Parts: sequence; C-alpha cells; structure tokens
Amino acid sequence: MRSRSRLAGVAATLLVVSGILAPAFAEDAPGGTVTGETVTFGQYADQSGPNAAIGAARYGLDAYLQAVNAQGGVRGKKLRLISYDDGYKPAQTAALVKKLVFQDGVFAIVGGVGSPTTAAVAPALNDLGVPLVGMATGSPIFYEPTRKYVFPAWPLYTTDGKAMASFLKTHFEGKKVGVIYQDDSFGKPILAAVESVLGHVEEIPYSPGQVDFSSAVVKLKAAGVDALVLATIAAPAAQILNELPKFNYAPVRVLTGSACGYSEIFKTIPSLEGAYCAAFLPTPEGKDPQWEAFTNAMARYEPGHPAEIYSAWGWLAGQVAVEGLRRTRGPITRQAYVAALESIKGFHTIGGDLSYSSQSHRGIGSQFIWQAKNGRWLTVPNSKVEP
Amino acid sequence: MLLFARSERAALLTLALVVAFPIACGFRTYPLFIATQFAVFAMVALSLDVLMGRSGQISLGHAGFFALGAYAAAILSVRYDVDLLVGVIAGAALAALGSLIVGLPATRLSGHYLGIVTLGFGVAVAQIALKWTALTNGDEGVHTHAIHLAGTVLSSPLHVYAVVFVALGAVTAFVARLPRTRLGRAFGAVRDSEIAAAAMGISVARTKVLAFVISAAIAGGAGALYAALTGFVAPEDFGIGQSLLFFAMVVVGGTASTAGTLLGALVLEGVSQAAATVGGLSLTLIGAAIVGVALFRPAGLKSLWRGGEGSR
Amino acid sequence: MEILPQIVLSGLAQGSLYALAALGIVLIFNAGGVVNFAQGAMAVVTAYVTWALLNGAHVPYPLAVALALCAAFALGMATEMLVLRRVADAQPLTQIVVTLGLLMLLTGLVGMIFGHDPRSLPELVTLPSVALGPVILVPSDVFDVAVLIVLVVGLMVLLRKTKLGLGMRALGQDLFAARLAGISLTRVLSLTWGIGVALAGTAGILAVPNTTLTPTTMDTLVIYGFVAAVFGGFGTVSGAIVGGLLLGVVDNLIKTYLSPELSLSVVFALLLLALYLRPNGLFGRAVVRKV
Repeated sequence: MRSRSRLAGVAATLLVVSGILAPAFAEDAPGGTVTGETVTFGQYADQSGPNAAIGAARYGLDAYLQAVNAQGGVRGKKLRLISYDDGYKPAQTAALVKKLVFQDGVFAIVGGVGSPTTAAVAPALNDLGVPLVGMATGSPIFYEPTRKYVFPAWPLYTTDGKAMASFLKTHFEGKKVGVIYQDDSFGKPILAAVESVLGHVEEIPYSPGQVDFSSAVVKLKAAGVDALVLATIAAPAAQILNELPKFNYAPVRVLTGSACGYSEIFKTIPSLEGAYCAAFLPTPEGKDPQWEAFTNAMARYEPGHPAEIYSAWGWLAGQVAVEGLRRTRGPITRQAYVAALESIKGFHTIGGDLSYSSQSHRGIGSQFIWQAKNGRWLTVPNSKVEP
Repeated sequence: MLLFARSERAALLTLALVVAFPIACGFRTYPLFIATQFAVFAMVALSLDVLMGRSGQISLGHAGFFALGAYAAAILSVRYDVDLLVGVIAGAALAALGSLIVGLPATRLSGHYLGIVTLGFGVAVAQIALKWTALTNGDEGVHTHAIHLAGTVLSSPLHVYAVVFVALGAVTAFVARLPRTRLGRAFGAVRDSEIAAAAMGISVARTKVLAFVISAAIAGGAGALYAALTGFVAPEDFGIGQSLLFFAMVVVGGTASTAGTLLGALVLEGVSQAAATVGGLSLTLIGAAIVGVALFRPAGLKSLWRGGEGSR
Repeated sequence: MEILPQIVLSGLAQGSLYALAALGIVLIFNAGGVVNFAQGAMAVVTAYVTWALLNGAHVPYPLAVALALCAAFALGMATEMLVLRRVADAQPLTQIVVTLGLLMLLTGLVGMIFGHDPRSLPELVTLPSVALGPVILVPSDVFDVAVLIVLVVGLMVLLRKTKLGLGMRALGQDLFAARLAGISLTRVLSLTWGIGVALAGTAGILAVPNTTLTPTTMDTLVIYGFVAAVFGGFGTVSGAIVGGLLLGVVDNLIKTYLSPELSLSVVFALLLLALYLRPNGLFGRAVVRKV
C-alpha cells in the first residue's frame, strides 16, 4: 500500500513538474503562408444535430470552390475544403477548429455555421491570427467591435429587424405589431431592432425546441395584434403560421430569411400565400444571374443537394473568401489576405454588395422583402432597406 | 485505475502512457486538447458511476451538474479572476448544492422516475443558462480569462493537460478505493437491497443523498476544469445529448468498474471525435457503437477482462 | 377577450399527442420493463416512410399512413426480436442504453437517407374551424382527440378481451401463471413492441403536419411523452392518458400566464414536486417492495 501511494505521489509530481517546465508557449498556427499548389479552407457545419438543415451551407461552399477550380483556380492555385460536423455543439466546434488549424493547417476558416458555435471560436481565431470569413450568422457580437481577423458577410440581425419594421411602417401604417422571437442572440437583436423603429410591441419569447405555439397565437389574437413578426427559425415559423388559420386569425405575417429558405416551405405551410420574408439573397425564382450560376453549380457538383437559401449561404462565404484571395498581392500570407479582404469595395455577391475597410468589417448592408405569391417567393419592388 | 486497479501492471502501463503521450504527439495543441477533453469527460463518467454503479441510482442529467461547475468557474474567472483551484472548489460546491434539488426527492424515487427527474434537471439547467443572460451571457457564452493555478498561468496546452490528468488520477483513485471504505460499503448495501441496508442500520435516505452530492461535486469540479480547458462555456454544450452520452459511457464501459468506465469514456469520446470528421455520420456511428457494445458485451467493456461476469 | 377556455381546449388537443406518445412508452415498459428512449426516432422513421410513400411512390395519403404504421409495427417487432431480446438477461441499464443507442442510430440514419432539409406532411383533416361562443373548435385538434379515444378503446378491448391482451397483462405481472396458460410470452413481447412503436408513429403522423419534418422533429414531443407517463404513474393506460391531457393543459397555462420560454423547466419543477408528494406518480399505485 505504501509503495503504491509513494508511486502515485511521484507520478503526480512528475506530471505537475513536466507541465510547469514544459514549453510554456502556445503553439503558433501553421499554414500562415500558402506555399504549395492548393489553398485549404476549413469549415464547421452541423451535419447531424438539431440545426443540420442550415448545415447545408457546406454544399454551397464546396460547389463554389469546385466551380472556381474548374476555371483554373485562383492565382494558379486550386482550392480545397475540409468541412467538419460539429453537431451544433460549441465545445465540439472549438475542438474541430483546433484540428483544422493545428492539424490540417488550413489557411482560413470559411462559412462556419451558427452563432454559439462561432462565438466559441471567433476570439481564439482572432488571437491566433487565423482569418474567419463569411460565417453564417448575423449576431451583432461578431461585428462590434471590429476584430482584425473576423470578416462577417451577412447583414446584421438588427438589419433584418429594421427591414421588417420599416416595411411594416411604410406599407401597414397603424397596424398593431406583435413579435414572437427565439430567446437568444438570434431572436433578441431582431426584437430590439423592431422596437427601435416601431416603439413598444407585443412580444412573446420561446426556447429552441418548443412544440405547440397555440397559446402564443391565442394571446396575440386576443391582444388585437394584426401584424406578426416571426424572429424564428424554420420549424417554429411553420408551427405558428399553421396555427393562424385554425383560429380564424389572419394578421400580416413577416418571417426571417432563416425561416423561409427551404424548398418544401409552400407544402409545409399551406396558408403561406401573402406572407412576407426579410431576406438578403435573391428569390429562388427571381431569374437573378448569380442565383442561376449557383443553381447550375449545385446541380453539377452537389447532385442530391438542393440549391436553396441554406446552401446559398455557403456559396456567399465562398465568394467572399475567394475574392479576398484574388486581391491578395505578393506571397499569400494571412496578413496579406486580411489586407486584401479589407480592400474589397462594392463587390457583387449573391447576397448583394459587400464592402470591408480596416475600420469596419460590416459585410452586406442591404435587405429585401419577399412576398409569397402563387406558390413562390417574389421580391417586393422597392423594398430594399439599407442599415 | 492508475494504481488501484486489479492489475498493477495495467495501472503502470496507463501511467506511462499518460506521461508519454505529450512527448509522443510532439506537444502539439490538438492531440493534447483532445486527450485533455477525454480526461474531463472521463471524470464525469466516473462521477456518474459513483451514482449508478456504486449506489444503484440513475442520472440522465449529469450534464446539468457538469454545467453548474463550468459556469461557476467561468463566471468567477471572468468577474474576480480567481485561481483555478478556487474555481474547481466553487464549481464542485455549486453542483453539490444543485444535486440536493434532485437528490432529496431521489430518496423516495428510483428507476425510471429518477431517470426522468434527473433528465428534467439537465434540461432545466440548460434552459435557465440560456435565459439568465445577465449572469451567463445566454447563447453567446462566457469566455474565461487566462487561467492560473497557484500563481502560474496555464499558458500552454501541456499545462492544462498535466493539471487535468492529475485531477483525473485523484478522482480515479478515490472512486476505485470507494468500495473498500465504510461509505462505499453503505452505497453497495443500499444498491443491493434498501431494506436489508436499513435493517443493518444504514440510513438509506442519507446514503442516497450523499451519493448524489459526491457524484455531482466530482462532475462540477470536472466542469470547472472543462471551462479552463475550452475557455468558453455555452448552454448548447450541456443538452440532453451530452447527458445521455455520459450515461452511455458508464454503461458501455461497465458499471461499478473504474477501468471499464474509463474505457467506455475513451471509446465513445474517440468515436465521436473521429466521426465528426466524416460528414453527417456522427450520430449514426456513436449510436452504432453503443448498440454494438451492448449486443456483444452486455455487461460492458469491463467483461473483456472480467470474463463476462454480469455484476452490477 | 377571455382566452382561458381556448387555452385549456388547445392544451387538451396538444395533450392528446403527449398521451399517445406516453401510451406507447408505457405499453412497452409494462410488458418488458424497458423504457424505450428511441420512441421519438421511431416516430420520425414512421413520418419519413409516410413522406417517401407520398412523394416517392405517389401512394394516396390514407394508404400511405396505413402502410407507414404497418412499417412502424414491423420496426417495433424487429427491435424487440433482433436487439432487445439479445440483451434480455443483461442488467436493466444495458437495456436502457441499447434504446439510447438506437435513438442516435435511427436519427443518424434518417438524416443520412432523407437529408436534413425540412420536409412536410399534409394535414389529415382540413375542414374550417367552428366558432362556439368564446372558443374556436379546430377540426384537426378534434381529430387528434378522436384518434386518441379510438385507440384507447381499442387497446382496452385488446387488453381485456383477447388472448394477446391477456399475455400483455401477464408479462407485466405473473410470468409463471402466463406460461401455465400456454401463452408464448416472447411473441407477445414482440407484438407489444410493434403496437407501442405504432402508437408513437401515430403521434408522429398527427404532429408533423403542424410543423416541419426533420430527423429531430419529435425530440421535445417525446420528452413530454415521458413526463406524461411519469405523471400518470408509469403503469396504466388510463394514467398515461390522464397524464398526457393534464400535461397539455398545464403546459399551455404556463406558456400563457407564466413564461413561454421556460415552460419545459417549469413542467419539470412541477413534476419534481408531484413526485416528492406522490412518489408513484399522480395516479400510480404504491408498489410493495419485496426483499
């Protein structure tokens, strides 16, 4: 017994001493200068968890990189994507991003999906000097303060909210507005922005995963709300909109782009006709040339994965990341890449014009309003909103 | 398992592996991080085995206790820049306190009732962490400050590795020794028959609550180390899925077996890390691993060396 | 406008789904002593089979539903015969962990086969709602409750009047007597699993038209099902029904008057309180413990 405890003591001491004497440095991120024939991007995107639907951004990003490669790549180099499945768990994101950066030696992290997942890695990547480009979230925490290596592409969620509110103010003056919002960094900025434009509104929060929204609908109807803003993702929006006709309740309805982007939405919500959606991407039926290029590339490189909003998020991230690479002068280093990204001005992406500067990494500013008409989404004329 | 496992040789080998691993992987960040993360999860699995294997209760919400510890340490680190040791103690204490919420009713409950109550506890902790933004910063999470222990800043992954593995060693030694202590024997008696235990003069209620408190304290301490390791704490990491994974680690490894539980944690954590790199397969592979082990080793992985005995 | 009656009524409709989910759980638990955590994943499989029959094979909707429920029944039987039977002699924890593994495996497989892009199923009943004084009667809600009543009556008849039912009750009580009566208990057990999973599938098919169909659609609903089962005492058909309906109403009241975003936490707090006062559930019978 005594020898055992002595041994245990020795082992513990050994570990502690080796820990303290160990190289007290934090490892530098490798791959800071592209030397070979390929530029490797890394991505985290939920492929199996609760938000695997939006994880389809992976396919849009991959399609864009393949399309660029088919045209000869960028500056003579081919592009490669390593995408990992974080299951929408921030700790897993942190682990996988360590693998991408230290093990796989990616040049930049591109098009990562989600707010809490991105929150887990953004500060660390910035400290390491690894660029984080075009992540699929509009949460204000990634915009203010501007971080040198973090380049969001989306309009802020608050821009979503402002677009919805100003649209209601212009076209539905005097309507009583109600907001159902996800009680987190996605829904709350939208609510705050709506209230900044319209003043106090009726508001009902919910937690992710909630089933049954009948109480919310009954409450808002009883409160006389006749314009309903849904700061929700897809499933809650479907549940709420499907409740409305059951209670003979027909308010004006406005959704977020996150809720109206999937292909079966008109089947899922039979009463969708007339509803609005605040989005920054072109409508799938709008004959937008960029959207057509995206659709063609998806059909070609990602058969079996639809060309829709979620995959378009990845396409957008790819556009921004590659544009930065195109503009990089001299050797492709992370420093040069960041400078190149900051030189982007008025770049036409699939989601609108994008500009960066050394002071601001704001990304896309403008938002549109779509309307559901005859089973498809159409952009409402003159609905463009600048922040 | 370290020094108190049945086979002295296995313990020494494990120890050698733990010391050799950082050198073998060239002190690189990612392998050290993954190994350290495994050690943290293994501590939670061991804590759960105190509850399930040793005292015959069940918890499907251990991620809740883990979360309490992680949040306590992270918030104390951010607001008061406390020493990691203080964080660990505070985390363990908060989790132990939280365990009374379910531990006290647990004296009257068992089996599936207890399962669902603990499941609910885990759900509630995550939901409240999301809601109580003033304290937890909601889904944006808490970023910890630079972690320091006894005046030394834990600046490299190896520091954290060393600290966490020493902690794992201590927890392992405690759990492995437990059956030979008075308390451990009381746990065993209650597990085997509450009525018989009561007849022997053991306070069944007290023993059951104590098992919960000890188990939660270890899980909370592990949570504090987890916050130090990842530097980030957010509600999404403490959902039902995580609780069920902890539960599966214990059963897959084999209850009431320290080495088995460690192996269970190693296998499931290994599968989930490997599976994450194969798009869309994570859940399928973890599920298949759990079902596979259960079908072919119903008593858990411990039966690999214990010859398939089906002890609890 | 007074909304309380409407809130209660809607709660009952939602509660009927919780009751259906609980019913499947309780039935399987009573027969084999296994809490099937994979109920939700199995309900999702049923919904996706319906979706595939509708959209892939263009089968008429009622027929698609019937076929999918048969598939659910087969899935339940197969689970018992191929998986659970093999761990029948292991400790109870192993049986629980097997169903957990199945939950992950099935959810993962559904995602791999059908993708994660949200899908949809049409409503089974599309009549307009009827205003009755202070409340609005929603036909699809009425249909949910009607399905529940029909299934419960059917189950009662099955349990009381048939040999299979006798076997199912015997499994929960006295194995020796059942063997004497010449009932093949292994067959009864697999049939019970079939029925239990078909009940979960029914809840899935009723719930999905109101929302999107993804591999994780049923996660929360099944948690409510577990809570309903525990509220009801985890033993009887009537307990599961009353537990489910009560839970639906209570949950809706919490969402309306207390806190919609914390409703699940509040429900669990109430459950904790209820169990502290009545450890065998609100409607459960005290169990005599034998040494």
